[in-house]
Amino acid sequence: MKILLSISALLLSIATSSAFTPSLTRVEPRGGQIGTEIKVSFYGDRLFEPQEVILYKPGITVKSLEKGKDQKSAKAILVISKDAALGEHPLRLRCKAGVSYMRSFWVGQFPTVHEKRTEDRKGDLNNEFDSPQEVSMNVTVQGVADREDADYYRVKAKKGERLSVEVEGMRLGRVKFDPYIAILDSKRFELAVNDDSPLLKRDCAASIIAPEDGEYTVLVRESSYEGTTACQYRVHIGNFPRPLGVYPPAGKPGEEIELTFIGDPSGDIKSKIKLGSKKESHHIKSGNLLSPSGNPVHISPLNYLNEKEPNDSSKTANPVEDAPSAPIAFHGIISKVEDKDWFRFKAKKGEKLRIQVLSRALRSPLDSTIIIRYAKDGKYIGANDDQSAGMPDSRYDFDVPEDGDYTVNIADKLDRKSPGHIYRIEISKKEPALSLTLPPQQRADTQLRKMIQIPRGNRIAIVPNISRANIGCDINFHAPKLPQGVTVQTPAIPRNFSNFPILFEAKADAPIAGGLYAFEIEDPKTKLRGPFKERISHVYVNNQGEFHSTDSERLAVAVIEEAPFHLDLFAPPVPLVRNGTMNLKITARRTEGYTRPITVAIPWKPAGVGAPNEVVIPEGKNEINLTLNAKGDAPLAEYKVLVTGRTTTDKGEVFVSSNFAPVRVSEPYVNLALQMAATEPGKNTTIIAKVETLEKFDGEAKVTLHALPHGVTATEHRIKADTTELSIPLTVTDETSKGKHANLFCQIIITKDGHPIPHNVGHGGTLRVDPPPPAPKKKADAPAVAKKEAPKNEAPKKPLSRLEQLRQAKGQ
Amino acid sequence: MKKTCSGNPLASDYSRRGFLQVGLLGGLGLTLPQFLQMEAKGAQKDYKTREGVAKSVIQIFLPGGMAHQESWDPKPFAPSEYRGPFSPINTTIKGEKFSQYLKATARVADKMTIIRSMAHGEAAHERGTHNMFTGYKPSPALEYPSIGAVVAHELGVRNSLPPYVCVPSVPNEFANSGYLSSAYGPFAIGADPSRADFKVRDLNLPSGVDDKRFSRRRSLLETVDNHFRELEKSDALDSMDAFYQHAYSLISSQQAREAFNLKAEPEAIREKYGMNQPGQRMLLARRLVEAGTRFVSLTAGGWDHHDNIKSAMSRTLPPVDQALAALISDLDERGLLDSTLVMVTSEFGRTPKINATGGRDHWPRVFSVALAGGGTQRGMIYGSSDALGAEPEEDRVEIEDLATTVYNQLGITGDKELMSPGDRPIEIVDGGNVIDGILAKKA
Repeated sequence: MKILLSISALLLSIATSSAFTPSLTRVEPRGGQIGTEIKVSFYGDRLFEPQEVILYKPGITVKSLEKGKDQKSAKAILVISKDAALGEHPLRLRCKAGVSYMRSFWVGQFPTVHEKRTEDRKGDLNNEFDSPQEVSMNVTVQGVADREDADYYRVKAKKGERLSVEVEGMRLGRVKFDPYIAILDSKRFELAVNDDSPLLKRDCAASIIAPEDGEYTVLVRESSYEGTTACQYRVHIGNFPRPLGVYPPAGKPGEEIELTFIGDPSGDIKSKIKLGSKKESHHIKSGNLLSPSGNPVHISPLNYLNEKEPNDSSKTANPVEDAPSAPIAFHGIISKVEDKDWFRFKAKKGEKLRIQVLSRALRSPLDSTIIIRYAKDGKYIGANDDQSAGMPDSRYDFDVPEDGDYTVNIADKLDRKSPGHIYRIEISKKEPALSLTLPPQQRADTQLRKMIQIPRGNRIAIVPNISRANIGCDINFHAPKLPQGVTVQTPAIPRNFSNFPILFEAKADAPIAGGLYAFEIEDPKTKLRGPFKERISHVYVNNQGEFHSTDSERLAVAVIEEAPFHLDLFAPPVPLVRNGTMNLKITARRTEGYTRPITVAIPWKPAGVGAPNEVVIPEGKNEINLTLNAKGDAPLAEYKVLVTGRTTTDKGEVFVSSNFAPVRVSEPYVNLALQMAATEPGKNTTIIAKVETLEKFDGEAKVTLHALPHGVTATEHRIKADTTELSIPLTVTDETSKGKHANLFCQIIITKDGHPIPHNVGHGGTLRVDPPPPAPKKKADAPAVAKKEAPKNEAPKKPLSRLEQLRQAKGQ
Repeated sequence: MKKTCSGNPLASDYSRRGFLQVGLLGGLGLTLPQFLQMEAKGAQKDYKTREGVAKSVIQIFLPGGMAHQESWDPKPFAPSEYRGPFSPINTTIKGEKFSQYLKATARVADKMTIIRSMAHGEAAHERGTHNMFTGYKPSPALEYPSIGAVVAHELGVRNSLPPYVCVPSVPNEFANSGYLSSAYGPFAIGADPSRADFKVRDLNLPSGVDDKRFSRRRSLLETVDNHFRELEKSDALDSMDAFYQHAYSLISSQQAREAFNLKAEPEAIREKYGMNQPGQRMLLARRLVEAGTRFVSLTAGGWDHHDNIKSAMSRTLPPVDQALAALISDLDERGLLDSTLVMVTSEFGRTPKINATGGRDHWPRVFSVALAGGGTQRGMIYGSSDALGAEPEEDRVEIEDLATTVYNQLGITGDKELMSPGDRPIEIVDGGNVIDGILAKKA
């Protein structure tokens, strides 16, 4: 009995622990202070047996992680180190049976307080200017901008003291939320307001020098009062610096450089910084305080020149003497109204250069336009305003016509200026580049199936897109590291593939584990390598695009609990012919007792090969066919394909892939053309097919005519390799609909080694059903009937072509 | 200058006689704009409204663009990625098939006409919707009235009911009165008839808005209104006001009010239509046309199936199928089908090939429209699309043709001109032909 009980307990535990697709919707609180330890709650669904918080950035460690009171929550204690980077720390929660979507935790330098709410938590206590929430200087408030909700925070400041405010709203990545802030004086006059900023996009920041000792009120709301309870924000209120730009905007890797941070109300702040190796975000320090979000600095090995005013004409183009040779970069600021900055560079005939402006890319307000000219005579060569829709930076691909000096001038499209209108112009050779990305599986959900989750003892495939810039090449895939017990397979990836399947397989005894892994692709000839990139759009709206996203070059990979089925794929050892079809046989090996339907799709198809979007293995069944079809111009080659099945268990959806199976696309064995036939309702006829054998086959092939109109039937026929013509008698009833039926075609099934090779041929075959001729005059009745009957009774000895029929009809 | 050629009128010098002729206008007290207006009116094409075969129209608009392949025009012989996930089923029109989720409608297909060769070429939702609601391609210069508004303008009130009603609300900006006075705009009932507490919009506060918030909103509105009142007087506001006053006075009549009372309908009938949005909307539409409304416009479902069309259609189509079949047979049993034109339209069809996410994208080059009653043929398929459902193959139908046919069956001549702002006469439909082939009884 004891044994029985323990077995049933074990079965129960297996049944309840399969929590596939854990869903993490919210992390509370949304952030914490550096140098502290904080209790964090994770909310969502199916959060069974949480194993690990996967963090993308250093600086936070997980002291403990435990399940919550039910599967809808988990708890952790996070330790935020003193030198943790301020800002967003992306994370995922890995449970025993899956990895969650990416969410974020925000690190700040100030202690966090919460917006004061009513006891029932349905309303705020800070909705009026006259009854605000008092806060101390240098604090972060976590609050909610609900519908028609305005939140007021009051802080004391001394004359001359800097008062800065910055909001993390849209960047918290929960919903589309456009915050607005204002700093008001004691008489409710606005001292500074901000809705959107080039630096922070939809989020905002404002900074003032307090004009007198006294109280100042910070207002936070949704910009059009259309917030919801999900519109959370973290607002930093303090004496921190808040510059809006940095100059120069770029430097070389490892360079020690003096940067000027521009736009703080106290004036420019200079800082000497040693640059790293990749694009960085610099938080400028003033006193002990940092700016809550950094100013981006571009890092590139290109030589660069900073502009020297005056350079607002072709004659003063920088440098006036000894123009530098491309590749080169120029830095400057459009600081005067209608300012134009000119630069001069040398280029050689035949060079293919790209002239790329980086301004909005570096969060500068400048909306650039550029013009390229010959330096010798100022003759116009080309110009560009925006590189693409939604990206106002300019880009011009320049095929250098002759050796010599050229100029590029840059201006703001709307003739605006400011000390923050900073830009970098890169003139560089077009370099080849490779990368991989996983395409979105569904519109408006960029996170769906971006995690690679391999059930133990099973397989899962992903199909990334290849991006090849300025290069055409075959591809090798590299996975330098994988979780223990995981292997990876890919087919050969020739240069004409724009995507390909990668199959991950976990051994039955692979430990349940996971993490972030970097993958690469390589051109086997040039050894050029490129990363597997991931871009998660936390807030994405259809037709509007993304509002906040996180980029990474590592993917979440995990070995998860066993899935309740395996899939085997069998492709018959015969070719898939052009204009033909092939049935792939899919077999599910189910764990005992698991009977639910399994939906199967082919995630990758060769060029010119089509398939249904999905097929379903019905409940309790184990097999299904998936029919591939090849177009008439499908490339002739051999490929490896696989299928992926999904099933919805009690605890979520789980995906499993099959083995690879070979499919060869080849020329058809036979071709067939249908000749036009015409008849009347109730009058049988014959349709003639000309048959051409392209490759010999053994035995007989079955021929069936399809897409006949209502009331017309034809029987099955057989042909051999030497058949050249086939007559197919049609039985035409009175009910046949009149008109031209032009979509007839034949299916020919050739059998080889017991496997069918279906061909669909003769497309566009036409049967015309004409209205019966007007009733003949009485006298002519008898002969007319006799004539009509004649062809019916006679077996069609020699089929007549349509032309011959017409000739005969005319002769009569 | 030769005497036979009048030459450039701007270069020619006016004769004294010509000057006098023009000057004569002044003598009659006409300003030049008034003169031009008179001239325009003189040239305006006018036709008397005739006795229509159809007395009313129920326009069922399926917003988003319903896939023709998964509804009225299945392609069972196309390759799987064109054919889509569903199987076709037989209809009561011999040899013709609908897609599998139109099971109930397939049984009343012998009362319907399906146009499978509709096309307009506008792949954006708003432009496609404009076409289907107005019979015109969009113009940046002019807002065209919807078909319902023209019907209200031409045929007016019957039995004290608003002539043009939208269920539950005005579905889009093109369903309005365009250049016609907003008095001809739709009367929106403002609440969904599928709700248990359904009643026509009244002055109760919307749920979720308390007194405090309402008074805050009202004080804001008053501030704005007063500001504009000081600046200008708006005729549009006045006519909108008059329209609603008129509408409310209409429904204060017992007979009219009863038309909106779904609870008066036997439970069995309500169930037959389906206790859901499409079902109760179509049932209300039937009550309204029965009581005298000329044009009822309703929407059902959302059909912009870019992703996973299989699950989307299997969820969205069955309630519409049930309701539509119930509506057609109910109208027929009541003897109303011949005098009521039911039209099921969408802004466009969807791409012949299933896309990477298992959906279909916008495809305006061919799609289908389903009609029933109002003098249309019973049991007809008109026109066809090609083997992949990509282009019209036979009898292409333009939006102007469809609109002209609908107007014709109501006794309105599409060529008639209405006066638009700037005193420009504009045809109700610009150049469409009545599709004689689909009509059993032409008005």
